[in-house]
Amino acid sequence: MHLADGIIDNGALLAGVSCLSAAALVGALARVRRCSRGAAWTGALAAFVLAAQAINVPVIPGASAHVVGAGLMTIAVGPARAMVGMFAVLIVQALLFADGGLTVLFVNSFNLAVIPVAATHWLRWLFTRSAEQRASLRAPIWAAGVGSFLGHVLGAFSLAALLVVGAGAPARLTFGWLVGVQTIAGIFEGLLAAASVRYLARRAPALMSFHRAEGPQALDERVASTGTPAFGLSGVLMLIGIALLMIPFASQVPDALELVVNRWGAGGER
Amino acid sequence: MVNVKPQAAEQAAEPYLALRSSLDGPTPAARVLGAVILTTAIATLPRIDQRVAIGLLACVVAATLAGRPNLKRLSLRLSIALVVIGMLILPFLLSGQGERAVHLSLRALGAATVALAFTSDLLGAELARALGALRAPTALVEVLEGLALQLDSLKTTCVRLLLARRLRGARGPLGAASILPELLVRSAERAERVDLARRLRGYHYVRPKRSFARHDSWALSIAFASAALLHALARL
Repeated sequence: MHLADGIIDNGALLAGVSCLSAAALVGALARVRRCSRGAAWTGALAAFVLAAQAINVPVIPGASAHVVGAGLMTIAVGPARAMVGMFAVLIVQALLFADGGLTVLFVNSFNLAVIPVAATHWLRWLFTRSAEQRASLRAPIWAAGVGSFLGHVLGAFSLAALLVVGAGAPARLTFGWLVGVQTIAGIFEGLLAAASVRYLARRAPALMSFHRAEGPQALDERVASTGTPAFGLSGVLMLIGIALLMIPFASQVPDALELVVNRWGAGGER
Repeated sequence: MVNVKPQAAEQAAEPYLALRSSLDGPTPAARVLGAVILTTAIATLPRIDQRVAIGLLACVVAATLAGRPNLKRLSLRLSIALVVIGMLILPFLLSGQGERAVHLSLRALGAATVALAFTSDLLGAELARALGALRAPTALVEVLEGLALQLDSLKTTCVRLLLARRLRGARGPLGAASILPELLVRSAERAERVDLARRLRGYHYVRPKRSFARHDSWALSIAFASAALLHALARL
């Protein structure tokens, strides 16, 4: 489900989605409390997700899929760290394995990090609205399972929409192909994520509550600020600058709607 | 937990670690920057005709000369990119847009090749330091460092767990999937031990003060010049 460089030639769309994704990442980075233990646990989870994403499982004849891992990560370390961890995974994949493009890094981050993390976090919030629900083990298990499935499907839907609008791919085939394959993969990942969270909650409950205030803080220690984590306003300004720079690269190729109208007339899609 | 200050020697050496590389040629930061420059240039090409395709090939050769990658590793990793690109252009091929599929895959494959030519030989830890040197947010670099530290041990732990399971007489792929949560717990335990050991030795992340070395200039010049020439060729 990784997008490669040069496939989307609609610069404005690319810049828009990238800015949206980058804004979510900036927000996540601003919320991440700097603590070395938290970074180590997120890094371990990210390594786990990277290894898991390398395993492609045949879903239907001629098509394979891999897990995303964002659901499990969101439940284990919270949405902000999960987003940073997933972005780290995407950077390693893009730079060391060419699995996903460098210029579409933020687009891939939108499909594979922002959407699945947001879906899982929203479900977790939905399932833990009462104090009784919060105390139960079922809520994180359901949130991980359903969130992983939903993240898969919505991510595939977003990728298909980008291919159709940004590259002029045939709509019916693209949506059917990508969403269909990822729905099947999502069911398996949902089950796997739910089982993993259930096991973790029983075997190592401290890991599951790590991101909460009531979590174990014995080894936790805030590290004095040594760098420039403040990325807020300067980051947003930089993103606006990137978006403006991308505008001249906006494609002359007609978008999907124009393509369809030109080729098949006003009758709609093939 | 006692807050131990970083040792003076380590703190003094830290800014220069970004320049240290397991490879000959450009530093990791220059490799990442070179990959970004050339990939962006190829991905934003307005059109690809025969002339631009030759320019693209020249660009790939220039990137290979500048990055000096291990060709066996490069071709292996390129096969991953080929699978990804193949999946993405399949709808175009199935709907009869063969010419467009060829153009898209040329651009995508060219971008992936130049990126890999620069960065495929980097180690995970070098990548984290390179991003730190390029002023990536500290929280992200710390997570990348953690990822790099855990990645190697993950494989050995997984092999050990699978072997232990087999020696107990367990069989079947579904049962093998049950080791995943245990693998996760062991990784977390190891991550915590490593983190504690590092902190007790006084380590904490310090952003490198220098990003590039002098000998990076030629590699970055090649990247910039190739990108400019390629765009000029495409717009003539």
